[in-house]
Amino acid sequence: MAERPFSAVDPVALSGSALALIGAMTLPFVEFRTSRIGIATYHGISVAAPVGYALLVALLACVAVAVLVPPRTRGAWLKGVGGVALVALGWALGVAASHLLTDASSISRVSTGAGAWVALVGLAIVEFAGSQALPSRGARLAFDAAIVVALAAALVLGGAEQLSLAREYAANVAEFWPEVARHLELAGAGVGFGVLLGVPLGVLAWRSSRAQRVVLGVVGVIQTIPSLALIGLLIAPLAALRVASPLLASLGLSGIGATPAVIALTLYALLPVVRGTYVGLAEVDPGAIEAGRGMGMSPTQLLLRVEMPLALPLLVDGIRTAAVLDIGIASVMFFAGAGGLGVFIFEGVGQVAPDLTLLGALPVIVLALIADGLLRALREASVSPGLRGEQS
Amino acid sequence: MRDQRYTRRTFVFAVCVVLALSASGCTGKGGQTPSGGGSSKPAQTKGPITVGSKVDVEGPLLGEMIIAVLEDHGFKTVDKTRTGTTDVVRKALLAGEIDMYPEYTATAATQFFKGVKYDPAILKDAQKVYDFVSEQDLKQGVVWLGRAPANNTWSVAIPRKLMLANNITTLTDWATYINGGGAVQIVGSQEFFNRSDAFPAFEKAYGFKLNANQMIALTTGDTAITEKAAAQGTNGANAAMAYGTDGSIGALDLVLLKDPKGVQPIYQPAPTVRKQVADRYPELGRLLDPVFAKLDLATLQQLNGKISVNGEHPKTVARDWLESEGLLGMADAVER
Repeated sequence: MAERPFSAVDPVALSGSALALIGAMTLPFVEFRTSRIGIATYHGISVAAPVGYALLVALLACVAVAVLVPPRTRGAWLKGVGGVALVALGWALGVAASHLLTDASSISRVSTGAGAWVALVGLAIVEFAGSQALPSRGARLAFDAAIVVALAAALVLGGAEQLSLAREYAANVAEFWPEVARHLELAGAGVGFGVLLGVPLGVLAWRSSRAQRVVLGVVGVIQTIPSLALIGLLIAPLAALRVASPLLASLGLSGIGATPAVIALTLYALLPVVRGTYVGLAEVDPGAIEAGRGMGMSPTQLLLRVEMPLALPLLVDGIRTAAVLDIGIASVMFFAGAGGLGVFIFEGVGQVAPDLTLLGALPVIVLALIADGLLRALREASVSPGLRGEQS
Repeated sequence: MRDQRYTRRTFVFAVCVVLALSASGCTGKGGQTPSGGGSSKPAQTKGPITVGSKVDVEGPLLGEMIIAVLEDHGFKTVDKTRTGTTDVVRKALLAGEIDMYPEYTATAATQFFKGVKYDPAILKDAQKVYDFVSEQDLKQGVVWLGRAPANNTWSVAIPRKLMLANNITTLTDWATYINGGGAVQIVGSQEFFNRSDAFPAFEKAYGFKLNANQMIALTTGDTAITEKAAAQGTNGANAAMAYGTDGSIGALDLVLLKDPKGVQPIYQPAPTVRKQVADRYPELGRLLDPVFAKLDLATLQQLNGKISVNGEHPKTVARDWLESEGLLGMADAVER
């Protein structure tokens, strides 16, 4: 194979590391405010010296790895050097906070600036590229675990608890974990009921082409209703229902709170679940169905013992989409009075305290990523053993 | 071999079903935080009383004050402060999901009694508007306890620099400045600019009129946003819609303009309680009236400032203030 110059360059890793480097160099690294709601002044990475400069060196090294290291060993190098850069980033934030807060009043705040965020995103891309280039799953897990531990250590030991985000957490810690639990309850209930309703609907849609048009059409239209509008539409009828039926009221039905929230989240979960079921069933190998029929199975037996098990991976994919969707939309359920992480998001917006908003928004992202990861693993586990190796 | 595959598939399917069922069974537990954990509280034999509030700065502050005082006098409480926006928290009260929350007199008068005719002039009289809402709300099953003297009403805040440069301390001065051709760009909510008893009332009383280019209307009613915009000069803003007890005005180097003609409705906060709870515990008024009576404008501004500017927790700010005023710990003294 003719060696073209730079034929070994990994474009993804290069983009990520270049983005991180340019962001860290040119954009503000941290913001300083005289009070929680004060007006921000911006500081570059030099305020985090000397660790800030170490970060720049590490980012430069990432660029070099992306360009120079041959593909065979690149995965490990990218993960390793990217990991070092992440540690430097976490540490540099703590150092910057210390520098800026030493002579400032006790109510002053230091927040992560655009440069730090861009560097974080760029490094996430580098880590992703590194994972792609690593052949062994064990190696990927080992690197990821090491990086998470090292980053956590850098944040804790470097003094990142002085950052405004950490201080908002400390001030609100009593409400934070209950709201996280509440958020998961709402999203979980939405997905749960979405599955209980959506799977039978998906089977129905697959069985009859007329049902398919109606069901998919309806759940598709539901998906287009904006979440705030849907909450608004639900509140009045539910409140009237509560007044009209003491039995339902005693069961906890209410016009505001969990009831409209869970109903809305269930409705939004329907489309991914119904589609997942429908497509999963439609993709089942006709040969397997023939074989089942040949063995004398009834339609129900066929459904339960052949078609559903084979449709399971795509169904779990649908559940995965529904879960990520519902975790995101549950933030808006604050407007239904249901609580959840939206409380911090909108309180932060109202008080113009951006780190309070982040205190609500970042956990939503993390929860969605965790749900996505867990359900991907479940999908892998749900592939029929006879078909493993065929599917990637 | 066949049994192994069957078992694994069934297992995965069962996991999905169990997850679905347990996830859906999670609702109904409510997002309530029982507010226990205090060190030297008297035995809590009464209640539980669920206390809610709005989601601004002052709502949770007043809510936490109520909780602290109730716990100090032997009530078990459930902390549901930050319940939601005015709409949501009022519905929660009427539905019995919360037992009490702090509300403002003029807010109730203008928003809760649709269809009831009243003379708009009563809104400018603190006692009359309070009597009106107490009477009307009794018909809806809500009791109003004693109100605070602080008037958390609409006003205009301008940057200190502007005040010094043009000697503007009252709305009269500001009107003179505007009519003299001074540059003005005010940030406020749609509601503020449209409601006839809000900004238009200022214009009418003080004899000035702004055109659309001089007003930046936002959909949100959050004064923190309008004040920050005026402080930063965003889009040329040099005036902001503000509330009387906002804590961030000083921190942003703004000044609140005085309203010598008393144009605005009077928004005084008071605890509103569900009638069943108020009847069951008639001592609530005796316990909370003295607390609210001490909340004047300067006090609320200062306490709100601690929360929004310093980032302290409403619970801490409330308790510290109550202790410094000697309003906590009285039950212990009596029992000993």
